[in-house]
Amino acid sequence: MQTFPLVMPESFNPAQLVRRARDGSADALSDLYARYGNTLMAVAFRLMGSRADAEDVLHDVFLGLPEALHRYDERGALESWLKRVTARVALTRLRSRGRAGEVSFDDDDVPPPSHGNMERLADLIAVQRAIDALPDALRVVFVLREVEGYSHAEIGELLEITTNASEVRLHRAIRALRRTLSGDS
Amino acid sequence: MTDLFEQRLRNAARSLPTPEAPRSVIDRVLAERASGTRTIIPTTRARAVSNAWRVVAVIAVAAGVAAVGVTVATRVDRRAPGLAAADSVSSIERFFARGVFPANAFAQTPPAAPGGPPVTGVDAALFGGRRLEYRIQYVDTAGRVTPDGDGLVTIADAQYAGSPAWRVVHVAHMTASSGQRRTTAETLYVTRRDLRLLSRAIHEAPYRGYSQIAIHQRFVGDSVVGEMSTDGGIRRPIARQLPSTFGPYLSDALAPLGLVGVRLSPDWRGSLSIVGWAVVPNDVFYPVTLRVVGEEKLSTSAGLVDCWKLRVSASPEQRTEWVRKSDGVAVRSRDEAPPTAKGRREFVLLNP
Repeated sequence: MQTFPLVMPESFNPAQLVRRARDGSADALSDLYARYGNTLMAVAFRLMGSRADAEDVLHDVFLGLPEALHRYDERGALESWLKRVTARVALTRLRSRGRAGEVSFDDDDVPPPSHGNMERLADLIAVQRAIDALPDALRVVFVLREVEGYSHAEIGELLEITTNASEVRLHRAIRALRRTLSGDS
Repeated sequence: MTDLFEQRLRNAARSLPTPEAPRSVIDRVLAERASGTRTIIPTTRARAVSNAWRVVAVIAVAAGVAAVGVTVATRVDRRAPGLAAADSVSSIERFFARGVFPANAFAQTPPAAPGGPPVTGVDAALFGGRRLEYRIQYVDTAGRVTPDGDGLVTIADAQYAGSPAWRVVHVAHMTASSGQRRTTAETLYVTRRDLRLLSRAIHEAPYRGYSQIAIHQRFVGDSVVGEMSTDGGIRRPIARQLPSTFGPYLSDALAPLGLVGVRLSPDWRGSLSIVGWAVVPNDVFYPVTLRVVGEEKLSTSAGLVDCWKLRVSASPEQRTEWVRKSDGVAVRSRDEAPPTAKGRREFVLLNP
């Protein structure tokens, strides 16, 4: 699969790139993709849980980016803004496919342990599977908090839930992962 | 408290491999954008956006109503089921689009090219302080006049995102082809220097089976984006391309002033496009071709006015328009389609 190089020319100028992309420049959009595509793909992949869904998210983000950039006020880092937009698009997709809607927090939602004990924590495949097996409502909070580093207040704003609800979901996600990865049932 | 498990879990989660962004995605994006595809992506919390739009709508309508001291009718008619109307939401029946210029939708496919060179030379400096009162009427073959509607356009200095702009408010009352009486309020912002469209809010009440409909548009780059909303929280996004080849673009409110300052001559010909509501694909913009066909002195309430006579077409619709020589303001426009039972529709400036 052909991918973009991560290294951009030394003349890389985000503000100029944003201005050109806003004006509809295809080259500027390509440059933004080359610069941020992999980062945004990672965000999308972690939230969606599959490469195909992540590519769809990435596609939607860049299809609407020239118009969306008019809402970027350039006060914050462009990468952070793009990651947040990508997260919003991913969450919108998750909602629309009905997987992030009403979620019960009964223990039945927690997948049965299938991967060994604490030593398996070093096994990234086991960790990936355990995260993927979480219900979306728990997984997205875990990813946004523990991987992407958002605060609970920011997660609450993204998911339209309270800060407290975000904390509760993270607690339950970690509890579920602990059970899965440690083999407790 | 974070324990060792959580710390190791976090580190492991952060180090999980993720796929790279494939070139095929951006290739597809670029191809779709080149073909005119646009989309709106959420950049802020949806609920907050909705509230913001609502505020804009209220301000826009309030401003329009205040400008002429009328009350926007909100007669409720909920006979239309579902949202069938939303799929056919169109500006085609609005005041100026069928008043000054024809407004023939191009269906799914726009024409290959505009019918003439783009209109140039519009003098934006002449827009300030304008106040145009219009009347819509039908004139039958016996010359009998039946009033149908009226409108008012006011233009004032404004600031838009910190830059000089014209704020154009248009309020109109008219009868739609369905027989429904409607009130339309449009607030438009354009750059003061070159009249580039910036944003537009339209409120129409009633609209078909709905008590009202609101259209909010922003013009960014080569696109129009925004949202339609109507009763019951029904909303439709707007994201359409406005190809530069069909410019310049005007809105309904600016249509009577589309040739202000333009140096017309006996063989003059030009083209422009009127932006529609852009909710559905056959209402994005209306390419209009204008051609000078003569000179006439028109009798108005202010006496005889020297005018250029133009043929205005958006195939197959045709109108005849009289434009004041002194400043390019449209003072009369007449539908050249076969007259209906009420006659031919005319559009007349009341305060020339």
